[in-house]
Amino acid sequence: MLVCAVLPPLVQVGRELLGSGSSLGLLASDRLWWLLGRSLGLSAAVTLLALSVGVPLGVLFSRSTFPLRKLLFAVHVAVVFLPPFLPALGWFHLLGREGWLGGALSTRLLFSELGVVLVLASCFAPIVTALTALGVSGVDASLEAAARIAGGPWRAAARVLVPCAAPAIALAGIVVFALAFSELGVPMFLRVDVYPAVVFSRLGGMDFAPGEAAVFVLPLVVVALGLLWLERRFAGRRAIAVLGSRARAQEALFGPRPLFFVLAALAAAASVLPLVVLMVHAGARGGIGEVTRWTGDAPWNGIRASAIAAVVMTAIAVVLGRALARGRRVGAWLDGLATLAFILPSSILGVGIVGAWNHPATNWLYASFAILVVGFVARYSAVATRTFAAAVAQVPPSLEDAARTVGAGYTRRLGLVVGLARRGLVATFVLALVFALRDLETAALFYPPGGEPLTVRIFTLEANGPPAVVSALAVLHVLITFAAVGVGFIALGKRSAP
Amino acid sequence: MIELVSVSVRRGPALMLDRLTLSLGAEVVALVGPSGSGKTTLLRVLLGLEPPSAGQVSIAGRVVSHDGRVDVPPEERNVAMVFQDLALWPHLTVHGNLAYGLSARGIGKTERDRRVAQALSWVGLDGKAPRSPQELSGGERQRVAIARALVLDPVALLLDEPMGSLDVALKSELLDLFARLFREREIPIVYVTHDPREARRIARRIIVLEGGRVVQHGSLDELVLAPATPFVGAFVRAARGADA
Repeated sequence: MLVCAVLPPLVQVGRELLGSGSSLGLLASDRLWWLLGRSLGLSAAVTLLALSVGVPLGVLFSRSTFPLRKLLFAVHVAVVFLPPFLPALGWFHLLGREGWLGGALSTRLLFSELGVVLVLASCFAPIVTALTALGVSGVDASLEAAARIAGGPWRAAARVLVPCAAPAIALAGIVVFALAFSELGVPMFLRVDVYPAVVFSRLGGMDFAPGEAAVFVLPLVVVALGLLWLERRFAGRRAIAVLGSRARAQEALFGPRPLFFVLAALAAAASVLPLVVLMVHAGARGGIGEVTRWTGDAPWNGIRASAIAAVVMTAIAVVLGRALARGRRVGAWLDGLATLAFILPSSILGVGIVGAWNHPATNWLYASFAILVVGFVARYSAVATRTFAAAVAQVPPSLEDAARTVGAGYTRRLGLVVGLARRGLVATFVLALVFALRDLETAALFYPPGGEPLTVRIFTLEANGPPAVVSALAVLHVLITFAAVGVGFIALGKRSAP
Repeated sequence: MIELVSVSVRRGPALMLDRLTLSLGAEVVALVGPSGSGKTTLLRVLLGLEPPSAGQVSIAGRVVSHDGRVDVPPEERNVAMVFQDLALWPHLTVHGNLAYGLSARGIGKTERDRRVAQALSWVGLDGKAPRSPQELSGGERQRVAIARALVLDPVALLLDEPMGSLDVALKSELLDLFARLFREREIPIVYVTHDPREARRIARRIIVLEGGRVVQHGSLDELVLAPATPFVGAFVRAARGADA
């Protein structure tokens, strides 16, 4: 399933690149390279900012005590489940020209490279927070205790906990860079030209020219392969081992301090404030009453495609995640393929998917919502696989060996692993669902006629639709996403009951 | 000098230590007891990782925790510990592991390097400073762990079953080394073990903990003469079995 989803578009991209020798002259444009440099610079700035905020917050949330810690963590991280242009919309209604706190200066700052960096960093820093917190929680309790005895809590955090969680933090940095580099919604909304938008405009905009798009993805492929090398070198299976470990120390490293509460509250506020602004904007301007007139089938399109894609991704994750956690070579190769598809800017995947499936023979798939399922599975399988692999890493291999000694075959042992890692299975499904629901960049390139998901509908309407309705649709998307996450949490809670 | 006065530790309904009163001078004591008897909890209280629910703990004449409070945090007690799994930091070299605590105390690089080299020579690991812990054998890792504890010149040393997973020959070699290192230091040393042979070779006094209380203490011969509980009886029988 994974190969069917990922390989055709990658092969197609390869073929188009090989056949585009005569068009390589298009790459000679100075502006193109300037845009690439700007995209790389913006992504690097977002990653650095997200790391410098997220790593300390991850240690704070994981290894200290203060009131409402879990609630503030959940609020801080919640923004990860949303497409970043929704918070951008909220910041616009707060700081834009007609925003409540807006003025000429704040508008100029928001609609600039700095604005893009700040909005994206506020959306992606929680990824670093969450992965750091998970990584730090997995550090062996005695390593932490030994460091604390010898050098105190601050030194233990900086010199032992963070280095031991480095693979998880490296993974977070690479994910943030890849997402920031792929991001179209926020830069386009804030009127900052970026390189992936050049490809996007050749595929779905006024400058429709798929042949040129294939040439323009070449530098993106180089960047993606570089990221894949970094991921293999600094994260890879070590990140799964770190994230899969659960050796939490008995007591918090840091005692309760008011400063920690204030920092955590600020982090949570940065995530929730733009969403609150959207709600108030939608309510105050009558957008909520109008919402049913403007949604069409968009919510259903998104939920249907995302749910089916999540089921497929979970099925892939069960097989591949287990293989990856157990160090099987084929698992590592297929995970590399899935990771490449995740790291590749969506515009590359878009070029590949359009080229691979837009033929008369496959029109039944290309013209239906199934193409969204294919796109989501291709793009986000790595997220599902890594999540389940981290869960399987907590199941001792000896349990599988014991099953084997009493005659259990592969399928039965897979069932045993699923039973033992059932909370991980639920988390895998929820994460896959949420990543598909939040997608804009992949779906925007090839959604079928009349079949656009809600994210695409909001993004399209943002340019021309009534602002209050756009805010109301954004709120609807937030509610759908959080309902899915909420159901997932309830399922996780029930599964964990004895 | 370590002094515990009526120390209790309660975790929920469970009483891990029950009004424990104990005084340790500059001596090596073996702490033994069945699983769940409170040995690890006692070490955690001495380290300052956990406060006593009631009672008072003093180390080197200073009250370090009492009645639910940790007065002196772990890093300021200068009590060293050798963990059961050794807890060598995998991302640091042998030198980095030993220098960590020295640099936390603000000791300059020259002095730090000198003390690291000295501690490695105590345990026969000269020249191993640049190695990673993963490159060392089990016995060498054990030596690094004890060197890391001693390099800080601690006021007390705690060892939590440090030889649990070693073979008999290696244990014997390391016990000789430990005994020599311990003799050279005038500090309280608490050695937790399940092995009566280790207890006898390392310590003159054995303290038996059961249900969070000291049920008996004395030399192995005194325990053999009048074992206070079935556990002590089994322990001394195992010691005699080892002699046979």
